[in-house]
Amino acid sequence: MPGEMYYDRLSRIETAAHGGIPDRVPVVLMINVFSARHCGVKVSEYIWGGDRALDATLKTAIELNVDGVDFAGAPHPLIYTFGFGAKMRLPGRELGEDELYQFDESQPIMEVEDYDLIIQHGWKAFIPKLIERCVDFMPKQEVFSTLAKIGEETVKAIEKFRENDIVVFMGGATTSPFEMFSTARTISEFFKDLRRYPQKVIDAMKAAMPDVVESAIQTVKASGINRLFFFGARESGGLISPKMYEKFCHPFRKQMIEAFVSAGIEVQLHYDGDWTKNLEYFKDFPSGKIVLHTDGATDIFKAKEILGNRIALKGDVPPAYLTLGTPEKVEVYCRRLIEEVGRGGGFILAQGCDVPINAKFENVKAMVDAAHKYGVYSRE
Amino acid sequence: MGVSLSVLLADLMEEEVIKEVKQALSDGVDPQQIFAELQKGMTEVGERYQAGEYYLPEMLMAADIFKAASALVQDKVKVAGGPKLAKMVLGTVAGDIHDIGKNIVSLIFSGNGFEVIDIGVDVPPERFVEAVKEHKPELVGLSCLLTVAFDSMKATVEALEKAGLRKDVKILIGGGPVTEDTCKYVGADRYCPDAPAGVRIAKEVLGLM
Repeated sequence: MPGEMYYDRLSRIETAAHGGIPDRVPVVLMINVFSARHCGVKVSEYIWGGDRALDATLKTAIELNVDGVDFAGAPHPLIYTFGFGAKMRLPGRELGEDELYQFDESQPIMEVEDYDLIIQHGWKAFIPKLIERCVDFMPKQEVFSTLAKIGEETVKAIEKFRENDIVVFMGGATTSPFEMFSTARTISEFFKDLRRYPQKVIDAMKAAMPDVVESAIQTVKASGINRLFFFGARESGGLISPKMYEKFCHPFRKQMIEAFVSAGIEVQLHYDGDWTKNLEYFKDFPSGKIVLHTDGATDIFKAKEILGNRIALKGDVPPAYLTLGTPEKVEVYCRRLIEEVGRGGGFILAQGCDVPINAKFENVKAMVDAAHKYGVYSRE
Repeated sequence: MGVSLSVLLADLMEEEVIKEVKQALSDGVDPQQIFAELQKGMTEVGERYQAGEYYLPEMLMAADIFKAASALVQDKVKVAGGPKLAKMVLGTVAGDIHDIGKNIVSLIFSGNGFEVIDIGVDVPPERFVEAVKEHKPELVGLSCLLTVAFDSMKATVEALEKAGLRKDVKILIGGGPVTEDTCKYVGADRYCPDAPAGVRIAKEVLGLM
Protein backbone atom coordinates (compact mmCIF):
# COMPACT_ATOMS: atom_id res chain seq x y z
CA MET A 1 0.00 0.00 0.00
CA PRO A 2 1.30 3.44 -0.81
CA GLY A 3 1.86 5.78 2.11
CA GLU A 4 0.64 9.28 2.79
CA MET A 5 3.63 10.71 0.98
CA TYR A 6 2.44 9.07 -2.24
CA TYR A 7 -0.91 10.83 -2.08
CA ASP A 8 0.74 14.16 -1.26
CA ARG A 9 2.95 13.77 -4.29
CA LEU A 10 0.11 12.64 -6.51
CA SER A 11 -2.04 15.57 -5.50
CA ARG A 12 0.87 18.00 -5.98
CA ILE A 13 1.54 16.68 -9.49
CA GLU A 14 -2.08 16.43 -10.58
CA THR A 15 -2.94 19.89 -9.27
CA ALA A 16 -0.10 21.40 -11.29
CA ALA A 17 -0.93 19.24 -14.32
CA HIS A 18 -4.42 20.74 -14.33
CA GLY A 19 -3.14 24.30 -14.18
CA GLY A 20 -3.68 24.70 -10.43
CA ILE A 21 -1.51 25.83 -7.53
CA PRO A 22 -0.20 22.91 -5.44
CA ASP A 23 1.66 23.18 -2.10
CA ARG A 24 4.92 23.40 -4.03
CA VAL A 25 6.24 22.95 -7.55
CA PRO A 26 6.40 19.20 -8.23
CA VAL A 27 9.42 17.54 -9.84
CA VAL A 28 8.77 14.78 -12.36
CA LEU A 29 11.80 13.47 -14.22
CA MET A 30 12.52 10.98 -16.97
CA ILE A 31 15.54 9.21 -15.54
CA ASN A 32 15.56 5.86 -17.30
CA VAL A 33 18.91 5.52 -19.04
CA PHE A 34 20.47 7.87 -16.51
CA SER A 35 19.38 5.55 -13.71
CA ALA A 36 20.89 2.58 -15.53
CA ARG A 37 24.32 4.16 -15.64
CA HIS A 38 23.95 5.56 -12.13
CA CYS A 39 23.37 2.04 -10.80
CA GLY A 40 25.90 0.29 -12.99
CA VAL A 41 23.41 -1.49 -15.26
CA LYS A 42 24.55 -1.52 -18.88
CA VAL A 43 22.12 0.04 -21.35
CA SER A 44 22.34 -3.19 -23.36
CA GLU A 45 20.70 -4.93 -20.41
CA TYR A 46 18.44 -2.10 -19.28
CA ILE A 47 16.42 -1.78 -22.50
CA TRP A 48 15.06 -5.32 -22.20
CA GLY A 49 13.47 -4.59 -18.83
CA GLY A 50 13.55 -7.03 -15.91
CA ASP A 51 14.13 -6.61 -12.19
CA ARG A 52 17.62 -5.12 -12.32
CA ALA A 53 16.44 -2.41 -14.71
CA LEU A 54 13.36 -1.63 -12.64
CA ASP A 55 15.32 -1.59 -9.38
CA ALA A 56 17.89 0.80 -10.87
CA THR A 57 15.23 3.34 -11.81
CA LEU A 58 13.32 2.99 -8.55
CA LYS A 59 16.47 3.29 -6.46
CA THR A 60 17.57 6.39 -8.38
CA ALA A 61 14.12 8.00 -8.08
CA ILE A 62 14.16 7.44 -4.30
CA GLU A 63 17.71 8.71 -3.98
CA LEU A 64 16.84 11.86 -5.96
CA ASN A 65 13.67 12.34 -3.90
CA VAL A 66 11.58 13.17 -6.97
CA ASP A 67 7.79 13.42 -6.76
CA GLY A 68 7.35 11.36 -9.86
CA VAL A 69 8.89 9.85 -12.96
CA ASP A 70 7.61 9.92 -16.53
CA PHE A 71 7.94 6.15 -16.87
CA ALA A 72 9.01 3.30 -14.62
CA GLY A 73 11.01 1.54 -17.32
CA ALA A 74 12.64 2.47 -20.59
CA PRO A 75 10.78 1.53 -23.76
CA HIS A 76 11.52 -1.97 -25.03
CA PRO A 77 12.88 -1.78 -28.61
CA LEU A 78 9.56 -3.23 -29.82
CA ILE A 79 7.76 -0.18 -28.47
CA TYR A 80 9.90 2.02 -30.69
CA THR A 81 9.30 -0.22 -33.68
CA PHE A 82 5.55 -0.13 -33.19
CA GLY A 83 5.26 3.42 -31.94
CA PHE A 84 7.52 5.07 -34.48
CA GLY A 85 7.93 2.65 -37.35
CA ALA A 86 11.59 2.56 -36.47
CA LYS A 87 14.36 0.14 -37.25
CA MET A 88 16.66 0.19 -34.25
CA ARG A 89 20.38 0.28 -33.70
CA LEU A 90 20.88 -1.35 -30.35
CA PRO A 91 23.47 -1.21 -27.58
CA GLY A 92 25.32 -4.48 -27.30
CA ARG A 93 24.68 -5.14 -30.97
CA GLU A 94 25.76 -2.44 -33.49
CA LEU A 95 26.45 -0.05 -30.63
CA GLY A 96 28.63 -0.30 -27.54
CA GLU A 97 27.22 -1.96 -24.41
CA ASP A 98 26.61 1.39 -22.74
CA GLU A 99 25.47 3.55 -25.65
CA LEU A 100 21.96 4.85 -26.26
CA TYR A 101 19.75 3.07 -28.72
CA GLN A 102 19.14 5.03 -31.90
CA PHE A 103 16.75 4.98 -34.83
CA ASP A 104 18.37 3.64 -37.96
CA GLU A 105 17.16 5.91 -40.71
CA SER A 106 19.88 5.08 -43.19
CA GLN A 107 17.31 3.30 -45.38
CA PRO A 108 13.53 3.75 -45.59
CA ILE A 109 11.53 0.83 -44.21
CA MET A 110 8.39 2.21 -45.82
CA GLU A 111 8.16 2.83 -49.57
CA VAL A 112 6.06 5.41 -51.42
CA GLU A 113 3.69 2.56 -52.46
CA ASP A 114 3.05 1.82 -48.80
CA TYR A 115 1.14 5.11 -48.52
CA ASP A 116 -1.40 3.54 -50.90
CA LEU A 117 -1.63 0.39 -48.80
CA ILE A 118 -2.26 2.51 -45.69
CA ILE A 119 -4.81 4.70 -47.52
CA GLN A 120 -6.69 1.55 -48.52
CA HIS A 121 -6.44 -0.50 -45.34
CA GLY A 122 -5.16 1.63 -42.44
CA TRP A 123 -1.94 1.51 -40.43
CA LYS A 124 -2.71 -2.02 -39.24
CA ALA A 125 -2.22 -3.28 -42.77
CA PHE A 126 1.35 -2.03 -42.70
CA ILE A 127 2.23 -3.78 -39.43
CA PRO A 128 3.22 -7.15 -40.98
CA LYS A 129 5.66 -5.29 -43.25
CA LEU A 130 6.90 -3.29 -40.29
CA ILE A 131 7.66 -6.47 -38.37
CA GLU A 132 9.28 -8.08 -41.39
CA ARG A 133 11.55 -5.08 -42.04
CA CYS A 134 12.35 -3.94 -38.51
CA VAL A 135 12.20 -6.76 -36.00
CA ASP A 136 15.63 -8.30 -36.24
CA PHE A 137 16.33 -8.46 -32.51
CA MET A 138 13.91 -11.25 -31.52
CA PRO A 139 11.90 -14.04 -33.15
CA LYS A 140 9.20 -12.43 -35.28
CA GLN A 141 6.51 -14.89 -34.14
CA GLU A 142 6.99 -13.73 -30.54
CA VAL A 143 6.22 -10.08 -31.25
CA PHE A 144 2.61 -10.03 -30.06
CA SER A 145 3.15 -12.22 -27.00
CA THR A 146 6.09 -9.98 -26.06
CA LEU A 147 3.96 -6.86 -26.41
CA ALA A 148 1.38 -8.40 -24.08
CA LYS A 149 4.13 -9.26 -21.60
CA ILE A 150 5.50 -5.70 -21.73
CA GLY A 151 1.99 -4.47 -20.86
CA GLU A 152 1.80 -6.78 -17.83
CA GLU A 153 5.26 -5.76 -16.64
CA THR A 154 4.34 -2.09 -16.95
CA VAL A 155 1.41 -2.58 -14.61
CA LYS A 156 3.63 -4.38 -12.09
CA ALA A 157 6.32 -1.71 -12.34
CA ILE A 158 3.83 1.11 -11.75
CA GLU A 159 2.57 -0.73 -8.67
CA LYS A 160 6.10 -1.18 -7.33
CA PHE A 161 6.82 2.53 -7.71
CA ARG A 162 3.54 3.36 -6.00
CA GLU A 163 4.43 1.14 -3.04
CA ASN A 164 7.61 3.18 -2.75
CA ASP A 165 5.69 6.47 -2.88
CA ILE A 166 6.89 7.45 -6.35
CA VAL A 167 4.24 8.57 -8.84
CA VAL A 168 4.46 7.27 -12.40
CA PHE A 169 3.13 10.09 -14.54
CA MET A 170 2.18 8.32 -17.77
CA GLY A 171 0.80 4.95 -18.78
CA GLY A 172 1.76 4.73 -22.43
CA ALA A 173 3.22 6.53 -25.40
CA THR A 174 2.20 7.40 -28.91
CA THR A 175 2.95 9.83 -31.67
CA SER A 176 1.29 11.22 -34.78
CA PRO A 177 1.23 9.52 -38.18
CA PHE A 178 3.45 12.41 -39.35
CA GLU A 179 6.21 11.45 -36.93
CA MET A 180 5.76 7.73 -37.65
CA PHE A 181 5.96 8.19 -41.40
CA SER A 182 8.93 10.50 -41.04
CA THR A 183 10.83 7.77 -39.21
CA ALA A 184 9.70 4.90 -41.42
CA ARG A 185 10.35 6.81 -44.65
CA THR A 186 13.44 8.52 -43.09
CA ILE A 187 13.20 12.22 -42.39
CA SER A 188 15.00 13.13 -45.62
CA GLU A 189 12.65 11.16 -47.85
CA PHE A 190 9.53 12.09 -45.90
CA PHE A 191 10.22 15.80 -46.01
CA LYS A 192 10.58 15.52 -49.77
CA ASP A 193 7.35 13.48 -49.90
CA LEU A 194 5.60 16.46 -48.34
CA ARG A 195 6.47 18.43 -51.44
CA ARG A 196 6.31 15.65 -54.02
CA TYR A 197 3.13 13.82 -52.94
CA PRO A 198 1.36 16.10 -50.44
CA GLN A 199 -2.13 14.67 -50.97
CA LYS A 200 -0.97 11.07 -50.69
CA VAL A 201 0.72 11.85 -47.38
CA ILE A 202 -2.39 13.59 -46.05
CA ASP A 203 -4.67 10.73 -47.12
CA ALA A 204 -2.36 8.16 -45.54
CA MET A 205 -2.18 10.13 -42.28
CA LYS A 206 -5.98 10.31 -42.19
CA ALA A 207 -6.23 6.59 -42.84
CA ALA A 208 -3.59 5.68 -40.25
CA MET A 209 -4.94 7.85 -37.47
CA PRO A 210 -7.85 5.68 -36.20
CA ASP A 211 -5.58 2.64 -35.70
CA VAL A 212 -2.93 4.70 -33.95
CA VAL A 213 -5.49 6.32 -31.66
CA GLU A 214 -7.18 3.04 -30.83
CA SER A 215 -3.94 1.31 -29.97
CA ALA A 216 -2.78 4.21 -27.78
CA ILE A 217 -6.06 4.26 -25.86
CA GLN A 218 -5.86 0.50 -25.26
CA THR A 219 -2.29 0.70 -23.97
CA VAL A 220 -2.98 3.54 -21.59
CA LYS A 221 -6.22 2.05 -20.26
CA ALA A 222 -4.45 -1.25 -19.60
CA SER A 223 -1.74 0.53 -17.59
CA GLY A 224 -4.24 2.07 -15.19
CA ILE A 225 -2.72 5.53 -15.59
CA ASN A 226 -4.84 7.72 -17.79
CA ARG A 227 -2.19 9.97 -19.20
CA LEU A 228 -0.49 9.52 -22.53
CA PHE A 229 2.97 10.57 -23.65
CA PHE A 230 2.36 12.16 -27.05
CA PHE A 231 5.68 12.64 -28.76
CA GLY A 232 6.54 15.38 -31.24
CA ALA A 233 9.76 16.71 -32.73
CA ARG A 234 9.65 16.91 -36.49
CA GLU A 235 6.48 18.96 -36.74
CA SER A 236 8.01 21.89 -34.90
CA GLY A 237 8.46 25.37 -36.29
CA GLY A 238 12.20 24.81 -35.93
CA LEU A 239 12.06 22.33 -38.81
CA ILE A 240 9.00 23.02 -40.95
CA SER A 241 7.19 26.19 -41.96
CA PRO A 242 4.04 27.34 -40.17
CA LYS A 243 2.26 26.76 -43.48
CA MET A 244 3.26 23.10 -43.50
CA TYR A 245 2.39 22.77 -39.81
CA GLU A 246 -1.12 24.02 -40.56
CA LYS A 247 -1.53 21.67 -43.47
CA PHE A 248 0.11 18.46 -42.28
CA CYS A 249 0.22 18.60 -38.50
CA HIS A 250 -2.11 20.75 -36.49
CA PRO A 251 -5.48 19.35 -37.65
CA PHE A 252 -4.24 15.79 -37.02
CA ARG A 253 -2.76 16.54 -33.61
CA LYS A 254 -5.93 18.34 -32.60
CA GLN A 255 -8.16 15.50 -33.71
CA MET A 256 -6.03 12.91 -31.91
CA ILE A 257 -5.95 14.91 -28.68
CA GLU A 258 -9.72 15.35 -28.78
CA ALA A 259 -10.15 11.61 -29.29
CA PHE A 260 -7.89 10.86 -26.29
CA VAL A 261 -9.63 13.38 -24.08
CA SER A 262 -13.07 12.10 -24.95
CA ALA A 263 -11.84 8.61 -24.02
CA GLY A 264 -10.96 10.00 -20.57
CA ILE A 265 -7.24 10.23 -21.25
CA GLU A 266 -5.09 13.25 -20.58
CA VAL A 267 -2.08 14.09 -22.66
CA GLN A 268 1.49 15.15 -22.11
CA LEU A 269 2.94 16.66 -25.23
CA HIS A 270 6.58 15.64 -25.11
CA TYR A 271 7.85 18.18 -27.59
CA ASP A 272 11.50 18.21 -28.55
CA GLY A 273 13.01 20.96 -30.64
CA ASP A 274 11.83 24.53 -31.06
CA TRP A 275 8.03 24.88 -31.03
CA THR A 276 7.98 28.59 -30.14
CA LYS A 277 6.38 29.48 -33.49
CA ASN A 278 3.63 26.91 -32.88
CA LEU A 279 2.57 27.97 -29.38
CA GLU A 280 -0.43 30.03 -30.52
CA TYR A 281 -1.95 26.97 -32.16
CA PHE A 282 -1.96 25.07 -28.86
CA LYS A 283 -4.78 27.30 -27.66
CA ASP A 284 -7.01 25.07 -29.82
CA PHE A 285 -6.38 22.10 -27.53
CA PRO A 286 -8.84 21.29 -24.72
CA SER A 287 -8.12 23.38 -21.66
CA GLY A 288 -6.95 21.71 -18.44
CA LYS A 289 -6.19 18.33 -20.04
CA ILE A 290 -2.76 18.93 -21.49
CA VAL A 291 0.76 19.20 -20.14
CA LEU A 292 3.33 20.65 -22.52
CA HIS A 293 6.83 19.33 -21.82
CA THR A 294 9.52 21.20 -23.73
CA ASP A 295 13.24 20.48 -23.95
CA GLY A 296 14.93 23.86 -23.61
CA ALA A 297 14.76 24.69 -27.33
CA THR A 298 11.20 26.07 -27.12
CA ASP A 299 10.95 29.37 -25.26
CA ILE A 300 9.08 28.14 -22.16
CA PHE A 301 8.73 31.69 -20.80
CA LYS A 302 6.95 32.68 -24.00
CA ALA A 303 4.80 29.54 -23.63
CA LYS A 304 3.66 30.74 -20.21
CA GLU A 305 2.87 34.15 -21.62
CA ILE A 306 0.84 32.74 -24.51
CA LEU A 307 -0.83 29.75 -22.89
CA GLY A 308 -1.26 30.92 -19.30
CA ASN A 309 -2.58 28.02 -17.25
CA ARG A 310 -4.89 26.50 -19.85
CA ILE A 311 -2.05 24.14 -20.68
CA ALA A 312 0.29 23.15 -17.84
CA LEU A 313 3.99 23.50 -18.57
CA LYS A 314 6.72 21.03 -17.74
CA GLY A 315 10.45 21.42 -18.24
CA ASP A 316 12.86 22.54 -19.25
CA VAL A 317 16.37 22.42 -17.76
CA PRO A 318 18.57 22.00 -20.83
CA PRO A 319 20.25 18.59 -20.96
CA ALA A 320 23.62 20.28 -21.47
CA TYR A 321 23.27 21.98 -18.04
CA LEU A 322 22.93 18.54 -16.49
CA THR A 323 26.02 17.14 -18.18
CA LEU A 324 28.40 20.11 -18.43
CA GLY A 325 26.92 22.50 -15.86
CA THR A 326 27.27 22.80 -12.10
CA PRO A 327 24.67 22.47 -9.32
CA GLU A 328 24.83 26.26 -8.90
CA LYS A 329 24.06 26.88 -12.57
CA VAL A 330 21.16 24.38 -12.47
CA GLU A 331 19.83 26.00 -9.30
CA VAL A 332 19.88 29.50 -10.79
CA TYR A 333 17.99 28.34 -13.86
CA CYS A 334 15.45 26.32 -11.85
CA ARG A 335 14.80 29.31 -9.63
CA ARG A 336 14.02 31.42 -12.67
CA LEU A 337 11.71 28.69 -14.03
CA ILE A 338 9.88 28.41 -10.71
CA GLU A 339 9.49 32.15 -10.29
CA GLU A 340 8.43 32.93 -13.85
CA VAL A 341 6.84 29.79 -15.32
CA GLY A 342 5.64 28.56 -11.93
CA ARG A 343 3.90 31.83 -11.10
CA GLY A 344 0.23 31.08 -10.43
CA GLY A 345 0.74 27.30 -10.65
CA GLY A 346 0.39 24.99 -13.63
CA PHE A 347 4.07 24.12 -13.65
CA ILE A 348 6.04 20.89 -13.18
CA LEU A 349 9.79 21.19 -12.92
CA ALA A 350 11.65 18.74 -15.14
CA GLN A 351 14.64 18.31 -17.38
CA GLY A 352 14.34 19.07 -21.08
CA CYS A 353 13.71 15.83 -23.05
CA ASP A 354 15.14 13.20 -20.70
CA VAL A 355 17.97 13.22 -18.18
CA PRO A 356 21.08 12.45 -20.26
CA ILE A 357 22.84 9.19 -19.52
CA ASN A 358 26.00 11.12 -18.68
CA ALA A 359 24.36 13.79 -16.50
CA LYS A 360 26.09 14.45 -13.19
CA PHE A 361 24.06 13.16 -10.25
CA GLU A 362 24.59 16.35 -8.25
CA ASN A 363 23.21 18.44 -11.12
CA VAL A 364 20.06 16.33 -11.33
CA LYS A 365 19.67 16.45 -7.56
CA ALA A 366 20.02 20.25 -7.73
CA MET A 367 16.75 20.40 -9.68
CA VAL A 368 14.87 18.57 -6.94
CA ASP A 369 16.49 20.68 -4.25
CA ALA A 370 15.57 23.88 -6.10
CA ALA A 371 11.88 22.92 -6.05
CA HIS A 372 12.06 22.43 -2.27
CA LYS A 373 14.02 25.64 -1.76
CA TYR A 374 12.16 28.02 -4.07
CA GLY A 375 9.02 26.18 -5.13
CA VAL A 376 6.79 26.35 -2.05
CA TYR A 377 3.63 28.35 -2.78
CA SER A 378 2.54 30.66 0.01
CA ARG A 379 -1.02 30.17 1.25
CA GLU A 380 -2.57 33.56 0.83
CA MET B 1 16.95 29.34 -71.52
CA GLY B 2 13.37 30.42 -70.68
CA VAL B 3 12.73 31.22 -67.05
CA SER B 4 16.17 31.33 -65.56
CA LEU B 5 17.42 27.96 -64.38
CA SER B 6 18.54 29.49 -61.10
CA VAL B 7 15.00 30.73 -60.44
CA LEU B 8 13.50 27.34 -61.23
CA LEU B 9 15.89 25.71 -58.78
CA ALA B 10 15.26 28.35 -56.11
CA ASP B 11 11.53 27.71 -56.54
CA LEU B 12 12.17 23.95 -56.18
CA MET B 13 10.60 23.08 -59.53
CA GLU B 14 12.12 19.61 -59.73
CA GLU B 15 10.90 18.38 -63.12
CA GLU B 16 11.36 21.76 -64.77
CA VAL B 17 14.97 22.06 -63.60
CA ILE B 18 15.89 18.64 -64.99
CA LYS B 19 14.07 19.34 -68.26
CA GLU B 20 15.74 22.74 -68.59
CA VAL B 21 19.23 21.35 -67.96
CA LYS B 22 18.71 18.63 -70.57
CA GLN B 23 17.38 21.18 -73.05
CA ALA B 24 20.27 23.55 -72.45
CA LEU B 25 22.77 20.76 -72.97
CA SER B 26 21.19 19.69 -76.23
CA ASP B 27 21.16 23.35 -77.32
CA GLY B 28 24.92 23.36 -76.81
CA VAL B 29 25.01 25.70 -73.81
CA ASP B 30 28.37 25.55 -72.02
CA PRO B 31 28.01 23.06 -69.12
CA GLN B 32 30.14 25.38 -67.02
CA GLN B 33 27.51 28.09 -67.46
CA ILE B 34 24.70 25.68 -66.59
CA PHE B 35 26.51 24.64 -63.43
CA ALA B 36 27.04 28.28 -62.47
CA GLU B 37 23.27 28.85 -62.84
CA LEU B 38 22.57 25.90 -60.56
CA GLN B 39 24.99 27.28 -57.97
CA LYS B 40 23.29 30.64 -58.20
CA GLY B 41 19.98 28.88 -57.51
CA MET B 42 21.45 27.23 -54.44
CA THR B 43 22.73 30.55 -53.12
CA GLU B 44 19.18 31.88 -53.43
CA VAL B 45 17.88 28.79 -51.59
CA GLY B 46 20.36 29.49 -48.78
CA GLU B 47 19.17 33.09 -48.60
CA ARG B 48 15.53 32.04 -48.39
CA TYR B 49 16.47 29.63 -45.59
CA GLN B 50 18.22 32.40 -43.72
CA ALA B 51 15.25 34.70 -44.25
CA GLY B 52 12.93 32.15 -42.63
CA GLU B 53 11.08 31.47 -45.85
CA TYR B 54 12.53 28.01 -46.36
CA TYR B 55 12.78 25.27 -43.76
CA LEU B 56 14.28 21.81 -43.66
CA PRO B 57 11.92 20.17 -46.21
CA GLU B 58 12.76 22.87 -48.76
CA MET B 59 16.50 22.51 -48.08
CA LEU B 60 16.36 18.74 -48.55
CA MET B 61 14.36 19.17 -51.74
CA ALA B 62 16.80 21.74 -53.09
CA ALA B 63 19.73 19.47 -52.31
CA ASP B 64 18.10 16.61 -54.18
CA ILE B 65 17.33 18.69 -57.26
CA PHE B 66 20.81 20.21 -57.26
CA LYS B 67 22.39 16.78 -57.00
CA ALA B 68 20.35 15.31 -59.86
CA ALA B 69 20.80 18.37 -62.08
CA SER B 70 24.52 18.79 -61.54
CA ALA B 71 25.02 15.06 -62.19
CA LEU B 72 23.66 15.65 -65.71
CA VAL B 73 26.19 18.39 -66.27
CA GLN B 74 29.12 16.59 -64.74
CA ASP B 75 28.40 13.70 -67.08
CA LYS B 76 29.38 15.90 -70.00
CA VAL B 77 32.35 17.77 -68.67
CA LYS B 78 34.54 17.92 -65.62
CA VAL B 79 33.28 20.99 -63.83
CA ALA B 80 36.05 22.68 -61.93
CA GLY B 81 33.67 24.92 -60.04
CA GLY B 82 36.09 27.82 -59.76
CA PRO B 83 38.44 28.74 -56.95
CA LYS B 84 37.33 27.97 -53.41
CA LEU B 85 37.43 30.22 -50.37
CA ALA B 86 38.66 27.47 -48.09
CA LYS B 87 38.45 23.77 -47.45
CA MET B 88 36.46 22.14 -44.64
CA VAL B 89 36.56 18.56 -43.42
CA LEU B 90 33.09 17.87 -42.05
CA GLY B 91 31.57 14.97 -40.14
CA THR B 92 29.20 13.83 -37.40
CA VAL B 93 31.31 12.64 -34.48
CA ALA B 94 31.66 9.10 -33.10
CA GLY B 95 28.60 7.53 -31.48
CA ASP B 96 26.18 9.73 -33.39
CA ILE B 97 24.60 8.81 -36.73
CA HIS B 98 22.57 11.95 -37.35
CA ASP B 99 23.35 13.34 -40.75
CA ILE B 100 20.75 15.96 -41.62
CA GLY B 101 22.34 18.92 -39.86
CA LYS B 102 25.68 17.96 -41.31
CA ASN B 103 24.20 17.68 -44.80
CA ILE B 104 22.62 21.11 -44.55
CA VAL B 105 25.98 22.55 -43.45
CA SER B 106 27.65 20.85 -46.39
CA LEU B 107 25.07 22.28 -48.78
CA ILE B 108 25.19 25.83 -47.45
CA PHE B 109 28.98 25.91 -47.25
CA SER B 110 29.36 24.50 -50.77
CA GLY B 111 26.88 27.04 -52.06
CA ASN B 112 28.94 29.80 -50.44
CA GLY B 113 32.21 28.93 -52.09
CA PHE B 114 33.77 26.49 -49.63
CA GLU B 115 35.08 23.09 -50.62
CA VAL B 116 33.49 20.59 -48.26
CA ILE B 117 34.98 17.17 -47.66
CA ASP B 118 32.16 15.24 -46.02
CA ILE B 119 33.53 12.23 -44.16
CA GLY B 120 30.16 10.95 -42.98
CA VAL B 121 28.58 10.05 -39.65
CA ASP B 122 29.77 8.20 -36.55
CA VAL B 123 33.32 9.30 -37.44
CA PRO B 124 35.97 8.30 -34.89
CA PRO B 125 38.66 10.88 -33.95
CA GLU B 126 41.38 9.05 -35.85
CA ARG B 127 39.44 9.37 -39.11
CA PHE B 128 39.21 13.13 -38.61
CA VAL B 129 42.99 13.14 -38.06
CA GLU B 130 43.58 11.14 -41.25
CA ALA B 131 41.26 13.40 -43.26
CA VAL B 132 43.00 16.55 -42.00
CA LYS B 133 46.40 15.08 -42.89
CA GLU B 134 45.19 14.12 -46.34
CA HIS B 135 43.18 17.20 -47.33
CA LYS B 136 44.95 19.92 -45.31
CA PRO B 137 41.77 21.95 -44.72
CA GLU B 138 41.57 25.36 -43.04
CA LEU B 139 38.39 24.29 -41.23
CA VAL B 140 37.11 21.23 -39.41
CA GLY B 141 33.37 21.00 -38.81
CA LEU B 142 32.06 18.70 -36.05
CA SER B 143 28.36 17.93 -35.85
CA CYS B 144 26.25 16.04 -33.33
CA LEU B 145 22.65 15.72 -32.16
CA LEU B 146 23.25 13.69 -29.01
CA THR B 147 24.45 15.22 -25.76
CA VAL B 148 26.57 12.12 -25.17
CA ALA B 149 28.51 12.95 -28.33
CA PHE B 150 30.07 16.01 -26.65
CA ASP B 151 32.74 13.65 -25.35
CA SER B 152 33.43 12.45 -28.89
CA MET B 153 33.83 16.07 -29.98
CA LYS B 154 36.27 16.61 -27.15
CA ALA B 155 38.18 13.44 -28.06
CA THR B 156 38.33 14.58 -31.70
CA VAL B 157 39.79 17.97 -30.77
CA GLU B 158 42.30 16.22 -28.49
CA ALA B 159 43.27 13.77 -31.22
CA LEU B 160 43.98 16.67 -33.60
CA GLU B 161 46.04 18.31 -30.86
CA LYS B 162 47.99 15.13 -30.25
CA ALA B 163 48.67 14.71 -33.96
CA GLY B 164 50.10 18.25 -34.00
CA LEU B 165 47.39 19.46 -36.38
CA ARG B 166 45.31 21.59 -34.04
CA LYS B 167 47.14 24.85 -34.79
CA ASP B 168 46.59 24.42 -38.54
CA VAL B 169 42.80 24.33 -38.40
CA LYS B 170 39.87 26.25 -37.00
CA ILE B 171 37.33 23.90 -35.46
CA LEU B 172 33.65 24.80 -35.77
CA ILE B 173 30.96 22.84 -33.96
CA GLY B 174 27.20 22.71 -34.21
CA GLY B 175 24.09 20.58 -33.77
CA GLY B 176 20.87 20.40 -31.74
CA PRO B 177 22.10 20.45 -28.12
CA VAL B 178 25.38 22.30 -28.79
CA THR B 179 25.90 25.63 -27.01
CA GLU B 180 28.74 28.05 -26.22
CA ASP B 181 29.38 25.94 -23.12
CA THR B 182 29.89 22.88 -25.29
CA CYS B 183 32.42 24.83 -27.34
CA LYS B 184 34.44 25.59 -24.22
CA TYR B 185 34.09 22.03 -22.96
CA VAL B 186 35.30 20.37 -26.15
CA GLY B 187 38.00 22.97 -26.90
CA ALA B 188 36.67 24.02 -30.31
CA ASP B 189 37.17 27.49 -31.78
CA ARG B 190 33.59 28.51 -32.41
CA TYR B 191 30.02 27.36 -31.92
CA CYS B 192 27.68 27.82 -34.90
CA PRO B 193 23.95 28.06 -34.11
CA ASP B 194 22.99 27.19 -37.69
CA ALA B 195 24.48 26.68 -41.14
CA PRO B 196 24.21 30.23 -42.50
CA ALA B 197 25.67 31.57 -39.23
CA GLY B 198 28.41 28.98 -39.68
CA VAL B 199 29.38 30.49 -43.02
CA ARG B 200 29.63 33.93 -41.46
CA ILE B 201 31.66 32.57 -38.55
CA ALA B 202 33.92 30.59 -40.88
CA LYS B 203 34.69 33.72 -42.87
CA GLU B 204 35.32 35.60 -39.63
CA VAL B 205 37.79 33.10 -38.19
CA LEU B 206 39.62 32.90 -41.52
CA GLY B 207 39.82 36.70 -41.72
CA LEU B 208 37.79 36.78 -44.93
CA MET B 209 35.43 39.50 -43.76
